[in-house]
Amino acid sequence: MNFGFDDGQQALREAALTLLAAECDSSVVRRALEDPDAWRPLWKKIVELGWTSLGVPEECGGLGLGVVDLVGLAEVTGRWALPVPFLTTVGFAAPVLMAASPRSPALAAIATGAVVAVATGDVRWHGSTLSGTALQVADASRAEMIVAVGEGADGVCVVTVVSAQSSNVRIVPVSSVDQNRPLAEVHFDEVPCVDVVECQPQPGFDVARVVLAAELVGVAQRLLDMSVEHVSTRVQFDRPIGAFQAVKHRLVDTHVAIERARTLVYDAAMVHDEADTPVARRRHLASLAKAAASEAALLASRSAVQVHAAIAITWEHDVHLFSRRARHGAAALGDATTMYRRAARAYVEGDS
Amino acid sequence: MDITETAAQREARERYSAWLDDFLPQGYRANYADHRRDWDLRRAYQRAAFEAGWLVPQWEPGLGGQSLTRLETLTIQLESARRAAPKLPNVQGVGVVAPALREHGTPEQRERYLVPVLRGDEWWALGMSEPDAGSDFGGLRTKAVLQGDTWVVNGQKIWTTQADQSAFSVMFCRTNPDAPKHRGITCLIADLSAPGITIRPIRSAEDSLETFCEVFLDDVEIPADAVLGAVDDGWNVAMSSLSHERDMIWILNWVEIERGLERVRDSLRNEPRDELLAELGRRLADAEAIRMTGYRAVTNELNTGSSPEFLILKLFGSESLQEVWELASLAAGPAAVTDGELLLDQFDALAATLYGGTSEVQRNIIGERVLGLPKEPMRPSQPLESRSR
Repeated sequence: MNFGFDDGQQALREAALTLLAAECDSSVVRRALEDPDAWRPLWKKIVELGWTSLGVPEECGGLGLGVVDLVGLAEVTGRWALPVPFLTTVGFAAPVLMAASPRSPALAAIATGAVVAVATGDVRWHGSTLSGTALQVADASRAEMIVAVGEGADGVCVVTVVSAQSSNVRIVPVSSVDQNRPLAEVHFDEVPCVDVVECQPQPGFDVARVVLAAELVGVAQRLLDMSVEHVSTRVQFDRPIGAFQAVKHRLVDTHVAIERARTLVYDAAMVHDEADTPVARRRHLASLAKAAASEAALLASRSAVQVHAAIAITWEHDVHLFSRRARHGAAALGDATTMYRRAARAYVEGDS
Repeated sequence: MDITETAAQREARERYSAWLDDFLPQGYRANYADHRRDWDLRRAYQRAAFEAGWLVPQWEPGLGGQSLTRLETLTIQLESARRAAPKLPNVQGVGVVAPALREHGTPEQRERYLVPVLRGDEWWALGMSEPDAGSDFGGLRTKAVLQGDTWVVNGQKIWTTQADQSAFSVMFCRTNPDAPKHRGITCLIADLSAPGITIRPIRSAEDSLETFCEVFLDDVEIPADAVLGAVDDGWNVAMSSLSHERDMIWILNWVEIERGLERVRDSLRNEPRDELLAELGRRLADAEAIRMTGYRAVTNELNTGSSPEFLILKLFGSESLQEVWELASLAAGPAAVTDGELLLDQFDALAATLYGGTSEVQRNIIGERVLGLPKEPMRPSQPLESRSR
């Protein structure tokens, strides 16, 4: 039993920190919010560094690394609010494909830098074509391919990959709290598909929840670090405001929420990487990790605004860059309440 | 990262678990409400755990241990908690006094006191809080004056758990009235049967398994060499004791959290209430996070020599404990207020955010030591005597 990252994981995290500190400061994140193509050079760079191949199985041209590796990296990308479709492609699409169709050519495409989004919603498979609509699909407008998760006859779950350029696929951008994770409605209008797999993609979504939770922990930590720095230097009533218990205690509660979430994320990631863990246990820990990280990120975001005060709700200040990511991440793939209820129901029914 | 137990962890856990199976009476868990009041069983458990080396697993054989590593020890502590093993009857003796004796005691003191406290033959109280010195421990006023080869002690302690049943107490006294308030404190070892000591139990608002006391000290004579640690260095003895206490408390709280969660589950199986599910999930996350943060801290200490995660566990565990028993009460419905066992657990949980340092003090410690936030400005630390009251 060990909660430390191994040498390889540590090296990857440090390399990521160095890269993002140099290439992803807040001016980059800001530019990306207003220029829809500003993310591309940074994406090219991380693809060259092999980040998109980390979780892809070796037989698909990837490195075949585990959830712990992804989590270690996602925590760093959260810290910098990395404005590229890394989380959606590597954290969502790849695990869902691996659960549904581990030899899908889309996995090899991810390893070499294709942007892939995951669309779930009221999507139906009619035997030869796919129809329906998925809402709030992250990064669909940047994607080359869409992993569609829908329902076939008798309610069976089906997964297929369609080209985002297909004439029967319509991608309609909608407003997003975080334009660096743009959202869209994806309409499938009798899209002909051949490689449709009947499967249980839920374990893939549970991996996605854990990776997203790691990103949220990184976001929350950044917001807390900014808050600690501010209250240590901002002087009112002749003292730094962090000396006041009312301020100090708020930030300590935020710190406890973040550590709680971080422990649960690491726990869930390690359990996912254990070959013989029962699916119910993986699901349970994914629920707890996602719920805790969602709460921690929202709390960190609120306390950051509170302790920074008015400056934190200006465009110029950086708090909103991270709060945006916190808001989207907390709502995506199941918010805290949904995840807590899912975990509790399983516990009451004796299936956790 | 690796979640799998090491071979040594698993081996130790299985050995302890088998030993516990042998020790516990049939149907122990189902009759926990009775067994937790069974002082004979609790005493017997302590003696047996001492003999078998499960009492303080990280210590050497002969001192209630078997020289296990910290990781294996935590595994045993959590297994003991998970199985709701009998609570040590004088838990602060093993959890706080014994480590202090071992760390600060002279060879003679260790020889005289360690084994009896570990076996549970001699109970100990912690003479820390006073009517005017609670969270502000450094403000204590009980005074000890060295006259020849005897300390003469006058003052009062309060909230002293089990003083009425204890043989000894660590007694923190002001010995240097001219030093800054944190510097002039000495930890004496008081024989509670000494003349001049009056112990008065304080009646608790609810049924409780442990008694709080007031301890009055009136010209009490304590031998000059009955000092734990150095003279005027009692602050450091107290701080290391409080750190041992924090490490003990979060595990004790975790036991009660797990038990509370099971209670909620049983209630909801009888009468499902969907509106409580999110809160139950939140507390399940607490329980898992507390346990695994303990492992995270231990393994980080092994990897890097530093484990700031430990500092949050007392605050986190005690706050969560209260929420769990509030939830247990909600889940039990209107009949909750008629259930004496449930009221006892809820009442006990209220104390958890107080003993061993209040949540407010914990937040100050975490804020300053972990987050590096500025300290609250205090009046300059003057000798206590020179201040006006």
